[in-house]
Amino acid sequence: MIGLTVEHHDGVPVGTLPLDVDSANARRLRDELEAAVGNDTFDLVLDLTATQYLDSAGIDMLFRLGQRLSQRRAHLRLVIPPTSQLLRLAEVVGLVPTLPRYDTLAAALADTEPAGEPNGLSASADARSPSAIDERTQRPR
Amino acid sequence: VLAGMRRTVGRWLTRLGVGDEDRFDITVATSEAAGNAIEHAYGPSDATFSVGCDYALGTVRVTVTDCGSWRTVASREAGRGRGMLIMHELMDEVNVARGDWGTRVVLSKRVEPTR
Repeated sequence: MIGLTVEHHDGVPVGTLPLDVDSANARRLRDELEAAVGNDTFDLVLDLTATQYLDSAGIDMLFRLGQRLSQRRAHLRLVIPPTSQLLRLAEVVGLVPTLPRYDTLAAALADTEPAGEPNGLSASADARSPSAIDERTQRPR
Repeated sequence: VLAGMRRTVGRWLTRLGVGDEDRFDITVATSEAAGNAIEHAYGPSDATFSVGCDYALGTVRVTVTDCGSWRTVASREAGRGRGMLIMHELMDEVNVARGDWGTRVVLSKRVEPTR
C-alpha cells in the first residue's frame, strides 16, 4: 500500500499523494509516477492537499521528477493549499517556486494542456508553455 | 518507522498545547534527524536510534541518538544536505555531537503554548 492514486482529467495525469511522503515511500512513488506519465503528456499534476508530511527524501523525489519532466518539456505542477504546513517547508527548500504551485487542483488543471496536443502548436500564445519556437532557438551552438 | 515516530512526537506536542506550525516544524525536523540516524546504520534492518523529548521554560528539546558513525553530506545524494537545511530552518538550534559511541542531534525550538 503506497497510497498513491493516479487519475486522468482530460488526458492530464493527476497524482494524489498519500498522507506521508518520506524516505519510506519516495522511491516507489517516483517509479509509479514516472510510469504514469506517457510520452504524449505535457503535464503531471501532483495533489498534496491531503499530504501532512514531506521529508527531504520526498522533496528530493519531487525535484528529480520535475527535472526529468522538464527535460521532456513537460511540467510538474504541485497543488499545495496556502493553509498547508507543507507550503512553508516547500518554500524553505526552494521547491516552490522552482516548481509551479497552485492553491487548488482546478487552478493547476487550468494551466495544463490536453494530452496529444504538442506545446506551442495549439497554444503558442501562452508564454508559460515552452513552445516549438523555443526549441529552435535553443539548439546547441 | 518514521511516520509512527512523527505521530508519537506530534501527539506529545499536542498534549503540551503546542500550535500547529510549531508542531509541524518540530516533527519534520525530528524526522530528518532520525532519517540520518537510520542511514548511519549498516542497513535499514539494524538501525537503532532513540528519540527523547523534553519541555522546559518554553523550549521544546528533542534529542535523537544513534550508535552509528556520522557520514558526511555526500553519503546519499544531495538529499541529505537538504535534511540538515530543513533542521536548521525549522528549529532555533541544532547541535550535532559525534563520537565513538555514535551521533547525537539535539534540536531546540521555543514554542508558544496555545493554552
